[in-house]
Amino acid sequence: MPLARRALLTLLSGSAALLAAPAVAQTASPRRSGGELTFLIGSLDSGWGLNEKVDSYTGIVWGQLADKIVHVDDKGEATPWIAERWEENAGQSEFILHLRAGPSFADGSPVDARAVAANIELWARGDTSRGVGRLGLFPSSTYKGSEVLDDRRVRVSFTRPTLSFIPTLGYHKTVLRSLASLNLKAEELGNLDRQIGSGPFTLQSWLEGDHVVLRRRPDYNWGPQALAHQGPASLERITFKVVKDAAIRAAALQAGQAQIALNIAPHELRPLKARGIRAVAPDSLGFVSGFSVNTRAPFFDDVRLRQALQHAIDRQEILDTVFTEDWKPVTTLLQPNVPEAADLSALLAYDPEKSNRLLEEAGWQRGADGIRARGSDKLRFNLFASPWVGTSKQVDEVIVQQLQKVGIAARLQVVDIATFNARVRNNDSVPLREISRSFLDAGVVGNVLTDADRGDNWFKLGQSNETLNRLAQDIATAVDRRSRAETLKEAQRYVLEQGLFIPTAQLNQRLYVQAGTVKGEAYSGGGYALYHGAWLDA
Amino acid sequence: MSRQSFLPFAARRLGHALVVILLAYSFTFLIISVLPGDPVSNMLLDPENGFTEEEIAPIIAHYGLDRPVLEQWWRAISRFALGDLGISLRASRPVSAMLLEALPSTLVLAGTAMLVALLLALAIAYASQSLPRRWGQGVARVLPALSLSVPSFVIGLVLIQVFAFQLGLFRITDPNGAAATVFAALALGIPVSAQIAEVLIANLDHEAGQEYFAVARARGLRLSQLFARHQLRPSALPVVTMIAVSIGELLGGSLITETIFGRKGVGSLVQSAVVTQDFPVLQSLVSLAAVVFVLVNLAADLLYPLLDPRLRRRAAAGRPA
Repeated sequence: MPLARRALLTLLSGSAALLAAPAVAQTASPRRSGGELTFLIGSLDSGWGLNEKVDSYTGIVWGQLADKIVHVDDKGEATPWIAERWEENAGQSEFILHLRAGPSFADGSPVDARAVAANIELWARGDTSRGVGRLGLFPSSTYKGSEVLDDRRVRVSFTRPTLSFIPTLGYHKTVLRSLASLNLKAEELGNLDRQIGSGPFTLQSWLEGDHVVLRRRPDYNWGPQALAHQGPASLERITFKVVKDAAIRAAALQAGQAQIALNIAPHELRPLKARGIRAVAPDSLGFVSGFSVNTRAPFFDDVRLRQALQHAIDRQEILDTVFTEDWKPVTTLLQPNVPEAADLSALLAYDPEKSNRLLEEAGWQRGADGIRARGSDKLRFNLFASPWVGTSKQVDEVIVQQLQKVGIAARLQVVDIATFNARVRNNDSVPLREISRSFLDAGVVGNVLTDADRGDNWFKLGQSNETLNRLAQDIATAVDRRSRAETLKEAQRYVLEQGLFIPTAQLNQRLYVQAGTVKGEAYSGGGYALYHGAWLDA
Repeated sequence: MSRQSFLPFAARRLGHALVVILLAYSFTFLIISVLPGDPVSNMLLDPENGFTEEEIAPIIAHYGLDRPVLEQWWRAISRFALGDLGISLRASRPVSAMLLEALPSTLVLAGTAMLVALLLALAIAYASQSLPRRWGQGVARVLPALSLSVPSFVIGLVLIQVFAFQLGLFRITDPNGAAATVFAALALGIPVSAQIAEVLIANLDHEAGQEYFAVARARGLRLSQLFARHQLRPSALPVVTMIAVSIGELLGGSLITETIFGRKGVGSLVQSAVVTQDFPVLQSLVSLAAVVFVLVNLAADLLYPLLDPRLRRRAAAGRPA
């Protein structure tokens, strides 16, 4: 929203502040059954199809409509849900899922081994004949197949160790759907009436891209074991309503027309908080916000330049300028709650003098215009804000100014997704690519270091760097989480020391701004809300 | 107009309309084809997913997005000519179903907005003739220019903030309720009413200067009678043209109004189709807009002779209307 519009709303809501009374329950109160929760969301545009059609927004709706095989908490710990337990072989290449008895989809069909195996098969392979891609985060490259052993047991096999398999089953896109839903024709896949889950809520009504109303399922009794609440949900109904404009979402919340609004701009949080509205930023597993450095870009093959960038960024200033206290400082390239995250703050220390020294050593001298140059080359490049991260532009504006102080001229470019893909992806003249990637298992780090095994090759080094090759290989073939954690720590240190990844801020893609009356909700490791146990305080 | 002359006329008009619609469809296709990206790549190449280009190639091929533009165009237009609007790449649903879902809300909004615009325009126009000359008429004459200079999204935001959030007259979560519809229609209709009022006032002034008007006034008719019987009807013809032109404005304006008021409709469908590059939906929406324009212009052409007896006589004499 343009600043003028925001300012107008702020101005107009000034008088509303006097009229509305803060409604915050200060004392603990008993669980209350019934009531309707209204949740304002910025988009439900991705539709209701399979796999990648589940996005950051629809993933929240799916969290109430469907179950997952396991629940993964904010520490990446997998606990039973539809699978009451699982076995894994010593080589971490074969898993047997033991399913609990009783769960059924809303259409009455059982959540049995056949349904679970069919879901896994579709996540792993997709179905190109219906235009369905595989699930991006699923370890498809090592997937061999799923076998139904009996009604309640599924064997899933991989060609080599796949430690990430079980945690991935708690991903927001690995939602279990009925067999009938999986087998719909291509043009029917997006029809939410026919996409049936087994979750604590069922569909009451919906309108494409506008709203979804869910109703409690009275016979639900198979929620995640790790959560305090068991049995049917307490809330009678949840309405997800699309309100595209963040300032209107905030104002509606303030006026008491909704209980939760997703993703309000950080600078608009303070006045809301002053009136008893809470901002819940659940820890989510993944990489922090930051830039992967393309070493093929002009000059960026020089480690001194990359390190200079690392120390030229004042991350505290970014926190102070753009965010609120809900954002934690970054200490490495992984989110603070990832168990394998190391504290490498020293490598990220703001030290412009060190940056200046490194740049001088690399032959970059300040010109009369303040921009460094080496011979006829100016130290200047385009910096593209990520179209996937709402706060990216504001963060990048601060970074541009910080880089300017050490003589680096970064020109901020704000473009849409299509233009970003066309101009940044596979463009070796762009040195920094902003990253936003969540995961449920830190093994994903191994996939991004090189291009081996369809690796993402974030730093465009291919397999030319022996250290990265070894680290990627060790992470991929690990069969033990503890030893892999050590390798992951070594990888973080190496990547940061080499200036291959420049972290900027904690990635907080889901900020739940909610009335004090909302109680008892839980969050998955990806920061996705579960309202199975939620209730509204009177 | 006799039946013999009407049939070829109607056939010609229908032929023109079909050409316009097919051209609109093709033009949209051309514009979209020069834009970078496609909806499938946009969705799958999200850094969250970690796909390689090789992996997404079969999916792009499934939707035929890897084919030469001319081939894609031919396939799309042949399907379109047979009435098949295709499948939304974003929503994985038939476009026709999505249009049918969105249309009623937009028709209600645009219809109410037009009603609001006409009533407001009439009120302003009447005030411009009837209020005391020095202050009242001056204010009424300034109003249209003032309303035109305030963008509809500002009007919308003010209405939402005051009437929904402060006075609680409607809820943003129920944007299709009667009260919410009226306020959305106000936001959409006010700028349109200004245009109509400006044209109407100019014509009313013209009629007020005519001799027959002075005679009517000398006969002692009341102001309201004068306005209704002698001033309004001859001034209505340009208003019909304005209304026809305004339909486009209402359709365009619905994009912003629907987004701000959180209404699902054709406007919000356009918005999401543009953002996600959902070609089949966008092409169908542009064609729908073309159909609406053609129909509205046709309706305006047919209305003229009913409003102006001179045109009826001309038509009867076989001269072009």
